[in-house]
Amino acid sequence: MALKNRIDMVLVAKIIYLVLVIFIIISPFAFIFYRAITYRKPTGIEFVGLKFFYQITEDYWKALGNSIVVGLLVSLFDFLIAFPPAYILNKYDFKYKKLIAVILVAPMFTPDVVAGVGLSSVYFRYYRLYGTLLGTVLGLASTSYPMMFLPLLVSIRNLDPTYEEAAKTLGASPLHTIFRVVLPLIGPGIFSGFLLTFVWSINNYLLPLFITGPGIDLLAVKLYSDIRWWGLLGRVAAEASILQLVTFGVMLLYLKTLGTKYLSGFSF
Amino acid sequence: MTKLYNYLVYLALVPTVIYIILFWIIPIAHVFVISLTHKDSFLMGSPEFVNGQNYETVFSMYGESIRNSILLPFSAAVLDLVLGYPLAYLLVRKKVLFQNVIRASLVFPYFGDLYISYGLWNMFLPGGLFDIFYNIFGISYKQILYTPYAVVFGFSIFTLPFMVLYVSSNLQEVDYVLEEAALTLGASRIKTFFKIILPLTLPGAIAGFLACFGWNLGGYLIPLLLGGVESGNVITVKIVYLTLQIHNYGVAAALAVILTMMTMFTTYLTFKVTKFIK
Repeated sequence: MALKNRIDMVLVAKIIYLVLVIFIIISPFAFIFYRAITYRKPTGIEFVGLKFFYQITEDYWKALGNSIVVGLLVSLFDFLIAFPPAYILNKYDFKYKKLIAVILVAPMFTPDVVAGVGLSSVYFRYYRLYGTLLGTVLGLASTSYPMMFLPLLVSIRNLDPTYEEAAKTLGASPLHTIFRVVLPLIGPGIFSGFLLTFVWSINNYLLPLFITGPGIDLLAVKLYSDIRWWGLLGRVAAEASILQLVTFGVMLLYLKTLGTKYLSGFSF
Repeated sequence: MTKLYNYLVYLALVPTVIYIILFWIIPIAHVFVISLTHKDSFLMGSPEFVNGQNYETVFSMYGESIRNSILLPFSAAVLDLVLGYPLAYLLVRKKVLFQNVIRASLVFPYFGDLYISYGLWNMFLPGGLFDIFYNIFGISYKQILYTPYAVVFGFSIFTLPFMVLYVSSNLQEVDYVLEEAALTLGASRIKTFFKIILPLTLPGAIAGFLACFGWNLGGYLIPLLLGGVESGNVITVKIVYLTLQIHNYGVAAALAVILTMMTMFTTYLTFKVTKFIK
């Protein structure tokens, strides 16, 4: 009897702990949605429906469109520069392999402010890319491509080499093998990298703040300045909800199709 | 022919290498150069070199920011270890409720800190979710919001998934047979934990700790919104203020150099612990 009680206690403690952790993790996100549909009055809280969403002006929707375009371009560019090293590092052995891998992953850990100060100064002085679409895409890619690189690295490592060998024996050229065999087989890894870099770049406000300036309106940047200056307004919560919905939609797609398998790549 | 082809393969690395040199190595190197120039003279076309003057300014005026930048992420990483380690254990070893919800929530840090900070700030303000808590303990919201505790709380929620990911991927490699053997041979659960599980998952826990610490070093909006002027006085906030508002790029770059040193050292240690480099 005493033993049974103890087991129950452990179970109860476990459930309380889990519920608490889930609550803590999810509540900030959920609370933004809640704020967007309610209005605080001194007397209490009033439900206002979608009123705040109608207050969002045209330029915010344009900024959302810009953000999505920039996000897609960043993901595409990330794939183009991350695939060759991911493939070569897995398939070939050479000197300084580890060092190259480290240099390829390290940008992910560079704080956005440092990258922002550095990129904005070279953009100003040499590249003349400040405030342009090209500059924004290339700058955002510089800290986000490890998120494409790591899933690719993991998926190419897990790829059974017999398929490639079979293709080679049957007379396919190396490029043909890559396009017809390797790329389709690592499709989930590519998809995973695409979604992660996309989500990362549409939610990045700090780097565009430095390198884009007023040139292109991005929703995350507009949202950031609104949060700083008009944080208490319901309209701002509604804007945040919209960007959040896009993000959650993409992430839901990710988890539905792939699960958390490719995230484990981030712990190497 | 095959030999030639092997060399040609490395040509495919060239675009990536050029891109990284142009958009990562050169900008970071320029941060070092700017840290030696006066205010925004570098951006305006005629750099005025002032040697170590900016660093003197940093150490005399921004010592507090540097101290906060180390202490706040460090405390958050400790809190993450305490909160995240049991969660990772439960996820790997036991069948738990809401398994999918927890796994799904592990992707939240990739969204950036925009929502975490804004959501928490709204929750801490009067009329938010913490009203019940304030009423029970009879305190004002100012005793929580705009204190270091709020910043540490925000930081630790932001990076909790990293801790869970690192520890659980380490724990998956530890054979459950070892635990069972210890339990069958008469060791208590507590003893099994300290003698078997903890030593074997220590690399994962240390890597998770370092990842949480390093990730939070670059956190900007969480200290700004939750810490206010005094408690949110960290390096990143100061850099944004110095560059975008008063255009003192020299001092900002000196701060950025210090921040870069700290993150690079942390990243190096993380790689070392996870055996990414030997």
